[in-house]
Amino acid sequence: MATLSYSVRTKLVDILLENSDLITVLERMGISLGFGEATVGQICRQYGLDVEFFLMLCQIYHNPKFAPDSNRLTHAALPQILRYLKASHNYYIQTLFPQLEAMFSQTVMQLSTEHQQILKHFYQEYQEEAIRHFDYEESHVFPYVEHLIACGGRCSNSFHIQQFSENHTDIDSKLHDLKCIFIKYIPSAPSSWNLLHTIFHLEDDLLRHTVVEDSVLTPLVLRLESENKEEK
Amino acid sequence: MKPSARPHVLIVTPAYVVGRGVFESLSALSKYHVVDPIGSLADVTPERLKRMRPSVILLDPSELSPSDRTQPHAILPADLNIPVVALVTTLTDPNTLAAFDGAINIYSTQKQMETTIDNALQQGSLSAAVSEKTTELSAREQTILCHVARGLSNKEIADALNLSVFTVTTHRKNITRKLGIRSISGLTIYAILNHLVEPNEL
Repeated sequence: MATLSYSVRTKLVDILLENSDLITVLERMGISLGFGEATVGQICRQYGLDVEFFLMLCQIYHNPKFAPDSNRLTHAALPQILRYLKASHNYYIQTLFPQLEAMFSQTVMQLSTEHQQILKHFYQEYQEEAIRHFDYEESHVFPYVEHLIACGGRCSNSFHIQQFSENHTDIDSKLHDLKCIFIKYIPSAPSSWNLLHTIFHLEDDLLRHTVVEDSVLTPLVLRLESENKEEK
Repeated sequence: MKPSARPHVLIVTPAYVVGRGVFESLSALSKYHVVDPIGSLADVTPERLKRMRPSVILLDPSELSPSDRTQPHAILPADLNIPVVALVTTLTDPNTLAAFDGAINIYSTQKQMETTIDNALQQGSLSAAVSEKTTELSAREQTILCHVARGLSNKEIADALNLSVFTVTTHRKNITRKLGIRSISGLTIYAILNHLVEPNEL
């Protein structure tokens, strides 16, 4: 397993200067700027965050190929993992999607009405699919994990985290295609650059989001489920 | 059935009868997609051209200002390279005509018009948006892509083209590899933007 290059004693500002995408994560985790020379340890104490998970998050944003070792985390980190995942869903739905939609409309305005409609339909399809996927997690997966935390893993439930191997591939493909289509086939409009920049940012963030779901949340819950089974 | 991108032909002439006549003659050939003639070059804005993306423009030289007579391509935005064929309605200086990608006049036969336009298209094919893009895919791949856009499954495409499902799958993999587009809806958009299928066919 890869080791973390950041530690409790690393200054948060140094991590941020290296990874601009983490800025939006701070916002999602409710961390205010203006923290001076505070270290990761100090920030986590101040905001009541799980240090191991926060460091893992920094590392995943630093390098999306980083394979997190969920054994470094205890069940106590679960509520914060959920908090990050939910806050990210909110960020996509409340902030990025409306921005994308507006820039998208501006960029396709130059095209014929027919082409505009087809592209808008494609984008809508993507957005609805993504929101459906987030909804499923919020209504099935997260409540299950919360339930599991509440009863300390000792509860009977027909749902298991393994069922949450829902793949993200189709949604990812559409976003990727959107990028290709705008780069290769649509002449640029003033809004094109921001549109592409936002699509890239969304894609990068979703990639990290998926790493947290698949390589942090899932193994941790699996562990909780199996500990429970052994006790029975 | 071989779906090919039908070249889009744009006619610009103040001579209404000539415009209609050329429109009808070319439409009758059904190998072109002929756009309704435009009466004045002033209405052909760069934005409009970018939107329409014609494959060839038939332009009445009398529409060009005297300073532009020998450079008809100056009417195009810098990033569009579309062949411009002269549609001659009045006596025109041969120097002017030489600057066009071919010329037709009011005495041209349907066959002559077709030959002139096809030559111009061929010359412009390196840069004309549509033809350039569609060369990315082989004719067979284009056919399969059209079927995919129309919502046919691999099995249905295989049956329609007398191929094995395996061959269709291979073609589809190659299409995705060449275009970098993976989803069916993304491929459909590619097919529409490149005039391989018309939106109303779907």
